[in-house]
Amino acid sequence: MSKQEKSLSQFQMALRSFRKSRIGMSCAMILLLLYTMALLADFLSPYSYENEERNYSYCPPTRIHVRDAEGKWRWPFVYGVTFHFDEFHRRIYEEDNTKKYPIRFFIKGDEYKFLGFWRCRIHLVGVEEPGRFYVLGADSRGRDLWSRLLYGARISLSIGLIGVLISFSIGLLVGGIAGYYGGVLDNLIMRICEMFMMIPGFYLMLALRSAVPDTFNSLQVYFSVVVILSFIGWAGLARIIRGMSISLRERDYVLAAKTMGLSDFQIIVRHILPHTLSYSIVAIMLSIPGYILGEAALSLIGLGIQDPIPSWGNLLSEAMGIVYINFAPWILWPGFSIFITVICFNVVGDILRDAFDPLLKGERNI
Amino acid sequence: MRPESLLEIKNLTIGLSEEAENKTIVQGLSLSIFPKTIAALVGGSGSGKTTTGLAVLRLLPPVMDITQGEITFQGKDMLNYSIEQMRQLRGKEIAMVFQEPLYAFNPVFRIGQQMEEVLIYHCSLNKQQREQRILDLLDMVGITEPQRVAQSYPHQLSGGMRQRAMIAQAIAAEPQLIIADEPTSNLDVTLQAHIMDLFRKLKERLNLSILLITHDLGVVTHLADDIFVLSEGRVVESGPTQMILAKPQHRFTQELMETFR
Repeated sequence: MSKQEKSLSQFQMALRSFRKSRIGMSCAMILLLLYTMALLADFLSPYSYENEERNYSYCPPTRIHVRDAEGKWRWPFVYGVTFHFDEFHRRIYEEDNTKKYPIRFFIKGDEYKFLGFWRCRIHLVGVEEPGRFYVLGADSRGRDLWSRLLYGARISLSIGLIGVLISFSIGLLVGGIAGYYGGVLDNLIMRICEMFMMIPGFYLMLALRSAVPDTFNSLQVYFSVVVILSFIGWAGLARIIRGMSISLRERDYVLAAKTMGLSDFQIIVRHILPHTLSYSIVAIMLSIPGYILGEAALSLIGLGIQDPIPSWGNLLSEAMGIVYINFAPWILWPGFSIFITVICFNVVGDILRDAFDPLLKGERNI
Repeated sequence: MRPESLLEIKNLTIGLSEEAENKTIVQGLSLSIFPKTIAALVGGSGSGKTTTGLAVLRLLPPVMDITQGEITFQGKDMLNYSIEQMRQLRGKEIAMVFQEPLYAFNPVFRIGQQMEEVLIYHCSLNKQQREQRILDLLDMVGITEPQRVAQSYPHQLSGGMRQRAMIAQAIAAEPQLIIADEPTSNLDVTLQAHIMDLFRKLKERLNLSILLITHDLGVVTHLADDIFVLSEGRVVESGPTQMILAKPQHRFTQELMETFR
């Protein structure tokens, strides 16, 4: 009896259904992992994002050895590198067998603030100076791509969340108000929405970005990018929520809430918007990739986050020429990260949509 | 001489906004409800009963409009109240019970949460007091497991339980008047009797007045003090229950009585 009687909310039921999906759960796990890595970026990365060593420009990923030149088993170590120029004046790196740097865990390196509070110098892995340890290779200025990828994840992944939060709050509220009141107000709001939807998103983004003064520091640029992205995203949602709200306002419980003396705002927030939640959660999941891609696009063409602060977009801007991709293919890693993140958000959103659909309950098998 | 009436409707006319000239839903309706009495508004479907109930709370659908008449509550003209004044009055002074509580409760919140809304808005109680009050209210309407019901979603309760919970919600802020719109139409006969009995008890206990809107003359015979018979938007017959039942004057009343005999 107790199990049958135990009441589950709509959200709990959807979650239970979602858990049954293996693909959905693995994608959710990957996302969780990515966000955790972004949060702990400064601990997980061997170097800070600014730590550069010009002698290691486009140094390939460092190989880890467990046997030395004489064939003896050793604690994992890396060799130092030397380079010479080839006929195209490109640097060709070679391992220098005379210099050995054992890999150390919890090694002291660049100082950072752990979780933004505690001053700390401990990094998960690394090698003693002057050895360099490039997990994924180095960029043009000899900065560790892995470290920059982790720091970049902070920007790229958080922009999606914050952007979606802002634009959905606006979209839900505006859509709810338009649908609930109807009439002239509804007309006015919807025409404004259409004005936003009329302009192609990318050009609107560029236009808005050009309105931002270029004297902004990196934090200000970050927030202006967030605001620009959410400025574009709210209109589409507002339209759909408005449609739902028009049908929801006719429900008996809305009338009942009115007879209890609730204000219009309370009715919209308590009795109308919660019913759009199953749609909104899915829409949120499916639109986060848009924000991540939007940031990447802006940063890629140099209008978003500015170097030396890394984001996946501006990291990828190094990979704009085929020559560089050919010579140092590891600079494509940020693109791969974007790809994985976007795929995962889409899959999670898709499966959540099924999970929230009451008609599919129990039938879906993925 | 009877005491001053709690709610007085005089010559109320409600028309559709677009074609108010020829299409009226309620025409020249007058009724008065006295403190601690139960008045029944009886009529067939489409006779304007529910519309009248909503008009009292000034919650008519946008297409309808009060074109004439006055509604006074506690001696004050309600039609002149501001939106904010009306909001203060709804739930606090006049509450409503609906025909189908399954739809009148929001399906995504627990019963307790929805009852709490009224308390938050109209009473200044802290969280614990509110929780206690919800349990007391559910107990008052004869629910034996108030704890469980408060934690349930509307769809998990039986029809009778839901209606009781709805009534508990209506009396939460201790209103003077309850408008009950067909409160028993969807219940079986035994439950109807229970709910009617509950109304009678609550009337005594809380000094309530009740405006009972129904199509079923049988339901109101034992309960109502006064009956107003409504047909096609007009009150065709009104008076104390005993008188109406003993000597129905209008043909429509006679027909109604035929059906329940």
